Amino acid sequence: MNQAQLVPVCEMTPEGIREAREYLSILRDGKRLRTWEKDLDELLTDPGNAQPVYPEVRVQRRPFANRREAGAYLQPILSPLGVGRIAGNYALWSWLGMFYLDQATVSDQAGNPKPSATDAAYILDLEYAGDAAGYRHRLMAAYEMYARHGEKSWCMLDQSLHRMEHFAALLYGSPVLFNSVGVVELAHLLYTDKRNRRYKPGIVGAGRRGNHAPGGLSRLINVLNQLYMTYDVYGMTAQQLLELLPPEFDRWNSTAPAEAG
Amino acid sequence: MPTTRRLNFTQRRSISQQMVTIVLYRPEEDSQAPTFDVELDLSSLALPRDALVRVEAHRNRSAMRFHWGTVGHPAPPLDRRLHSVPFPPRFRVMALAPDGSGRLLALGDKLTPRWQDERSSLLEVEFTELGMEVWRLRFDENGGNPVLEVNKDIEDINYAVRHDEAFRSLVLPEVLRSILARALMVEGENPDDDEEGSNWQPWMRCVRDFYHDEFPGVSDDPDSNRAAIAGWIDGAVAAFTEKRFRARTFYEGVIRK
Repeated sequence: MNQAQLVPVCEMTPEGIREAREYLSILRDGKRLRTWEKDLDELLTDPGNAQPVYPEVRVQRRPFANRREAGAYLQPILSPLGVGRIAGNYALWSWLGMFYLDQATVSDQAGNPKPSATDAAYILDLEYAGDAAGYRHRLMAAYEMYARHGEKSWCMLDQSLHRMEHFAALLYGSPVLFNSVGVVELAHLLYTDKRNRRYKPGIVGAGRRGNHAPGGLSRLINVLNQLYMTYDVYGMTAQQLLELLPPEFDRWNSTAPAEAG
Repeated sequence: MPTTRRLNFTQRRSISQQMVTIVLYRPEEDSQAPTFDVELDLSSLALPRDALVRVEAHRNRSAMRFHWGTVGHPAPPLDRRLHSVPFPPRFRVMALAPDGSGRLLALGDKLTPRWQDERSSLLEVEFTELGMEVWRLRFDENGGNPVLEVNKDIEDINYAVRHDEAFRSLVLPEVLRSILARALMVEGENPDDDEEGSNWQPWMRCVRDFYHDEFPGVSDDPDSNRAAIAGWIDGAVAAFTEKRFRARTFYEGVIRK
């Protein structure tokens, strides 16, 4: 299967998913690297492992510089399937995750993929089906960030497909908060540096309190989850949410008035 | 005996499934999205009439939000297509403070819809205190479905009502007899009338599925009418037990135990 070749998108069978797990394990052990592409093609096209979706849609292997490119490429291609066939479809995302395996992993010096330690980065794990489905899945994360929030999630979209940085993992890992346009905007407002197109340093928190340092991203998730009990967090704007946050977040808010003295 | 107190620090009121009817409509073509409708009865919550109502369909990681007017003036949006949420979705209904602050006044979560063409139960069952009675039938004066009241103090009665064929074969034919007597003799219903809006029409359709004898015509003699209708009802109940229960067989099985 060369890069330019358009191939029908498939849904993976349970047998295909078992074989994909075995394949990832072999790659992690550094075996059969010379034939990894051929082995992967066989795995993805064997009728016992994968069945084309209907209506037929086609994709081609291609590089994605970041999540934005992946989302922008996949959204129009998958749209004929309808949301009901896309969202949380473990068979579809497992096939796509493996099809773009080389884009969703780091590579060694020879250009061979080095898969992450967790299969769920590529295979939509049934154990995570339900509300938290797929929060580790690299390709689905890129697709959903792009499709749901577009440029409001610019900093997450700027990142490489193979990364699941702390910011994205926390935000994307909470479906209730991730679905809120206001929350994603607020998180970008507080913790990103648009001029330099990067996350602000120190948002994860350091020291004894680590992730839960005052004003840190984990604290924001905790506070928003508390507000969720009494406010319509989903429907509120970033500005409305900002006004409800305790003062510990002021230092991250570049729009807040500077403290006197 | 220790009691459990639930503290509600949020002052948020709860919208129960009983207050919300959500109906899904199938699209004419498979490629189209289903639509839905919601009927709300929030009167018992004493919410401000200008509280904002929001309805949300959600499943897995997807959600769709609909503005639904206010508690006093519900205003469903014209476009209620569920095109961005997998099926079957669950629903949230919420009432928000009218000041636009986003404060939740009431919330109903994990509300389940039903499909429009899903057959609803003709006979509601209610477990209640009945003293020494096992069951009795209650008719809703407002035209709702009849309710089968069952003595809640009898152990495992819930199972018996739902699954025990001996119980069902003894009770349900008499339930049908009472319902037909009420509809045909008290309220003068005719099982062959297709009058839209009649509360008894679903029952009559159900009976006509298994009993096809001609319904007696009306004569000038009321006693004769009553006797003819009573005979027709006996025939319908006999057909019901024959088709659905074979009641005698089950009853004989119980006696032999």
